[in-house]
Amino acid sequence: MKNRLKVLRAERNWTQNDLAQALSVSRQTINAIETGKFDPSLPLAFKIAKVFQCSIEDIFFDE
Amino acid sequence: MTERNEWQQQQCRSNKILAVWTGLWVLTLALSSFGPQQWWESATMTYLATVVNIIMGAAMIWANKRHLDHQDELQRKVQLEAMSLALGISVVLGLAATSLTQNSLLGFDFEISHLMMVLGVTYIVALLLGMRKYQ
Repeated sequence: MKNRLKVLRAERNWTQNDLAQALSVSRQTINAIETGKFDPSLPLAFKIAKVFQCSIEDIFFDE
Repeated sequence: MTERNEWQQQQCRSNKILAVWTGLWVLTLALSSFGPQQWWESATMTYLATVVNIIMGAAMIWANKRHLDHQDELQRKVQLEAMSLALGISVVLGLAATSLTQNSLLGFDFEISHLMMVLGVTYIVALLLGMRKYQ
């Protein structure tokens, strides 16, 4: 699964650490999601969507 | 955004609590193991030291459970993979060593401490590999 996390984060000038703090996860987890090494659970995906104020489909998509 | 949020503080706290209970468990284990040889001869004292050690062990297990609860989903995944690998390797090697010992084919006396060492080393290596994998 691919995602636009890095782009969305860059648009807001947030560091990985900023996003990690907003989501209550580690910076490594953000990095792993951005690089496609780890797919988040549905609750975390919803949380990410809420932080970026968009839908899950706007962030995550099938390869 | 704040320097350290509540989740990070809680994780730091649970790390410290786990470290304290693990330290106490190791200390009481050493006491119940070496106490009868070094400091006392009473069997009651040995029983008491063992009971205290079991209580500390239970507290350590509880602290480890809380520690896992405070981790995020990727950290839990890494822990789960490391634990399953450590448990699997220890069970397989432990039973193989027991079988060889029963048939007098092992060159040394196989003890539970050997199994604990295999378990510990496998867990640490698997944890480090897991952390590196998702870096």
